[in-house]
Amino acid sequence: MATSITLTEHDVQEEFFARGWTDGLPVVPPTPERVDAMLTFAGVTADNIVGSVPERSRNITAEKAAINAVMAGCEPQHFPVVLAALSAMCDPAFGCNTAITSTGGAALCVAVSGADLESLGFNTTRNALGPGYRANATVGRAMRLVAMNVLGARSSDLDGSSIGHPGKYTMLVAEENPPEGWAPLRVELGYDEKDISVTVLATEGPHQISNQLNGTPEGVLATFTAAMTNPATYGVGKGHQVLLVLGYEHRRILVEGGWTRQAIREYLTEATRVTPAYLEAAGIVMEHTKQNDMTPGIDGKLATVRSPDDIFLITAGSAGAGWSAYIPTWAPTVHSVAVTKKVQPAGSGLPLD
Amino acid sequence: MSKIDVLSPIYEAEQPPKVLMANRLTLIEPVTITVIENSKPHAKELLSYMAEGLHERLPIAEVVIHSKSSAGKPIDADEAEMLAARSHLVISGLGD
Repeated sequence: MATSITLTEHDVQEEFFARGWTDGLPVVPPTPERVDAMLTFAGVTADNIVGSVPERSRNITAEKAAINAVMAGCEPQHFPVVLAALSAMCDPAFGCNTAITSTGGAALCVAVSGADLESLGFNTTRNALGPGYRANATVGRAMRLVAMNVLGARSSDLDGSSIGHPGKYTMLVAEENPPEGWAPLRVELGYDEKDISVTVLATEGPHQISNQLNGTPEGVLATFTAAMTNPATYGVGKGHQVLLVLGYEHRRILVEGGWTRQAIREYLTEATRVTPAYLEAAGIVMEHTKQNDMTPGIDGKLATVRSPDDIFLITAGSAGAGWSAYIPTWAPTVHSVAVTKKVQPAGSGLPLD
Repeated sequence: MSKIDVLSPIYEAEQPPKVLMANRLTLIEPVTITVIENSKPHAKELLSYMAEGLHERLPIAEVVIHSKSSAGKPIDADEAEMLAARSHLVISGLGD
C-alpha cells in the first residue's frame, strides 16, 4: 500500500511541488477516499499490476495509477481509459523505456475511439487537440504523471529530452464519429463498433495542416504528403508511424471523393517515399547503422512509413476553413510502435491482453 | 487548519533480491570477447576502437562486435544466450 502523509490542504500543493511529484501544475490531493473511488469504479484492487517496464524493474500498480489519475484531475469514470492506456504503454512493442527516456522527447499520445465518447466528457469536435475539456486534458495528464512518478521520467532523473514539447503535459485526441461510409478507428483496428479503444503512440507534437482553398481529394492529399515529408522530422525516410487527425472539411472532401481509409493510407505510404538527395538537400546525413539503414529501395527512395498499417487515421475537429493535424511518432518503428487496447467497462477489472 | 491524508504517487521500491557476484573463472585461451554496440551513429566506430585497444593489451584471441537492432531495446533472451555461448566475456556499451 502507498505511504500516506498528513498535511493541511494548503500545504499539499507546496509539499508535492517540493518533492518533485507534479508536472509543474497544481494537482488534486490524492486522498485515500478519492483513490478508492477510482479503484472501485474500475473494479480493480490496489495491488493489481497494470503493467511493467522490465528495463526499470518497475511495476505500475492499480493504486499508483489511481493516485496519479486523481492528481491529474480525472473523474472515476475516466479511470478505465487510463488503465487501458497504461496497459498499452507497458506492452513491450511500445518500447516504453526508450520512449520516455529519449533525447527526442516524446509525448504519450492517446487516441480514443468510441461510439459515444461525449457521454464520458471527451471533446471530439471544436478545438479537438486544444484545452477546455476535463476528460481530454486529465487522461493524457495522468499518463505523464505515472511516467514521471512511477517510472522516473523526470528531467532530474531518466527523462533525457533535449527540447521536449507541450504535449508531454497531456496529449489526447478523441475520435468524432466518422462520416457515413467510413468505419471508425477501433473497427479498422479489429475491435467491435460498441467497444472503446485507446491507441497509445510516442509522438512529436502535433503539426497543424492547412489547406483551405483546394476542394479536391488530390489537393488535400498532396498537402498531407508535404506535411509528412518534412526532412526535419526524425522519422522521415526512416520508417516511423503517423497519426493523422482528419479535420471536418478534409475528411468530407476525401469521403465525398470516394476515397476509402485504406486507399488514403496506401496513397500516403507511397507518396511519402523520399530520395536520399531530398533529405541531403536539407542537411540530413544518411545513416547506415543496423537500426537505421537508409539504403534506398529499388525505386531509389526511402520509406517514411513502411506500410499503410503505420498510418492511423482519426476524425476529429469542427468545421472551419480546412484544418487537419499530423502527429508523427518520434522514432522509427524499430524502437516503438503504437499499441491499442480495449477499455474495460466499469467494474470489469484490468484491461485484457 | 484541518489536515488531510494524501497518498504518495511515486514508486515505492521493494527490497531488491541480493545478487551474488558471478564466479571468477580461470580462462583457457583462446579467449573471445563480445562487445555489444547500441547501433547509434558512431557507436560501432567508438566501441570497435575500444575493442582494438583490448585486443592489443590483453591475451585475447578474438573481439567480436555485435550490433543491437535498436538502441532503445535490450537484446532478447535468444540473442543473449547466443552471445553467452560464444563469448567468455560480453561488454555492453553505447554511443550517441
